[in-house]
Amino acid sequence: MKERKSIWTFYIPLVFFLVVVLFPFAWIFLTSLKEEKEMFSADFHFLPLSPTLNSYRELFEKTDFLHNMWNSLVVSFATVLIAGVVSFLAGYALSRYRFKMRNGLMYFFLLLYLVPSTLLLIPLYTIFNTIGILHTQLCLIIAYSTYSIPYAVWLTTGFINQVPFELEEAAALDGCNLFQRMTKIVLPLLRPAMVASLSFIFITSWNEYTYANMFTNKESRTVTVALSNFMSQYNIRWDLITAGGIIVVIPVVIMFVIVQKDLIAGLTAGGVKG
Amino acid sequence: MKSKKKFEYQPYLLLAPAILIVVLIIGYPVVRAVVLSLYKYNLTDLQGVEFVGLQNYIDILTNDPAFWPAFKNTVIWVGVTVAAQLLLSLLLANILNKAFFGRGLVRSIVLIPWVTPCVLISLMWAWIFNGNYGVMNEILKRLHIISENIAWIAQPDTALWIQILAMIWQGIPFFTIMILAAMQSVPRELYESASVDGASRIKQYFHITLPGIASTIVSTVMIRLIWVFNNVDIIYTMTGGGPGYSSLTLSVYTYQQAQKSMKFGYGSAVAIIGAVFMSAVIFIYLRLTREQGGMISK
Repeated sequence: MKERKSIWTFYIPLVFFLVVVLFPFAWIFLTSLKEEKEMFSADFHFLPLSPTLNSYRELFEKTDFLHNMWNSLVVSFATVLIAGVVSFLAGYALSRYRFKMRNGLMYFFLLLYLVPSTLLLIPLYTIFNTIGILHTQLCLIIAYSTYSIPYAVWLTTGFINQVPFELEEAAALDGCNLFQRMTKIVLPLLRPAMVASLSFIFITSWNEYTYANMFTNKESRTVTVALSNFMSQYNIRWDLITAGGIIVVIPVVIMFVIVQKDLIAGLTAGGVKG
Repeated sequence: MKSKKKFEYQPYLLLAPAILIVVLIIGYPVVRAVVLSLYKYNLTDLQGVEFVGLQNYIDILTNDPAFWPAFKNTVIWVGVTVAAQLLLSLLLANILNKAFFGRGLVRSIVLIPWVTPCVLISLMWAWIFNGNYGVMNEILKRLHIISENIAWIAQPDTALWIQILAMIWQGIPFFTIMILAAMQSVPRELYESASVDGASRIKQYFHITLPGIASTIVSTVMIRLIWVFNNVDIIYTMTGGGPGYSSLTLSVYTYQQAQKSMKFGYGSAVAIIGAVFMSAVIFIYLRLTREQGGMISK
């Protein structure tokens, strides 16, 4: 489309949005390179006077941050695995079969996705406590499944809707059973879409804080909780927060940039309709 | 697609794992939350657990100095955030819908806040608006807008607004991609014939684009209303609801009850009141927007 782009309605707002989005990241990155005394100096400089990686060194050498990252990685990966398998089966059923409870179930999953985590927080705590898995990675995986399964079912149904059923019919004529059709035809065609939605679940789990802060202890603490713990009431470690923030956000952004196209295609396909 | 008459067990078999898991980890906890809300159940005093009926609810609504401020803040927090997100996203989507050099890169960049952990968003904005060393005070001083540092986050009349700002920043990307996708599905012929008829761009926007994306706006606003209502991280990390009750919302209040006070019965009751309130809002919202045909009303 060719259209004239005016400076007032196009370029200025565009630059404004870009600056507003990027500035916070730029600012914590610059801060993370400063000497600690420079961060809290009355004489204000936007750029670090003598850039240093001390904050990062301290983060990795003197705190458990690497261990926290490992915890986040394990929990997020397990969440993705469970959501992936379960939602593929459910999504296949919701997409390929017409049965009595189908519509009801679709709304059911959408509704579950919207259940507030603060409502589940307390009962989940008491349940985990009773069965003795509080503070383990398992309890976080369960907690994260409360939103990732409904979300994945919702998305996967939409994705499978886009795979033509004729392909499966042809395969069925050739004697393929249900399992073969699912793994040999649907799954390969679905791969980019599934990778995208599962990556998003990974990102959401990596970023999660509300449950993690309640259900972990020093041993199982995840990276977001560790980050917020650098901010205790009497001593706010802005050096560790800014360095840790950069470290936490980089893998997520890289992952997102890789999958965003497929993810957006899936999100906007409108999985609930139809 | 398949139209066999006999009962098909296959879909139920395939759905079984998903249904079983969500009933166990969502359905049962919701029921348990309702039960807990009828008890005096403090984790610090498990000997004192007793059934109190609706007493928690009565206490919250009539005798709790934090509840009504939190209620009011929730309305501001959700209302202002979602309204601002919608307006700014309409603007941003309009910009990104144009063809220009580097559009792909720009789109990727403006989506980044969406995948940034809320905890980090909260900490970033807290650092920017830090009262003593924050860059915002410095910029405003150099522009001669203020002459003294302002303790943005430590004073009651600005704390919530800084958090609203952070939440708006977080939510614009999701809104924008949904709107952008909807804009691209509006048939181009409509614009072409409107141009032939001499309709101005602004007129086209209000008469073709907006009606064309109305159903997307309706459903996205609904999702955002719920997400913003549910969000704990931003406020809890930045101020924990303070100073005083000035930035306390119902979700943050529930979280405090659970995490700090360990009052599980009382906290559950707060959570349920919040969920009922939000359900009512959504119900009314869906009624009002039924004609736009969001994803539920279909």
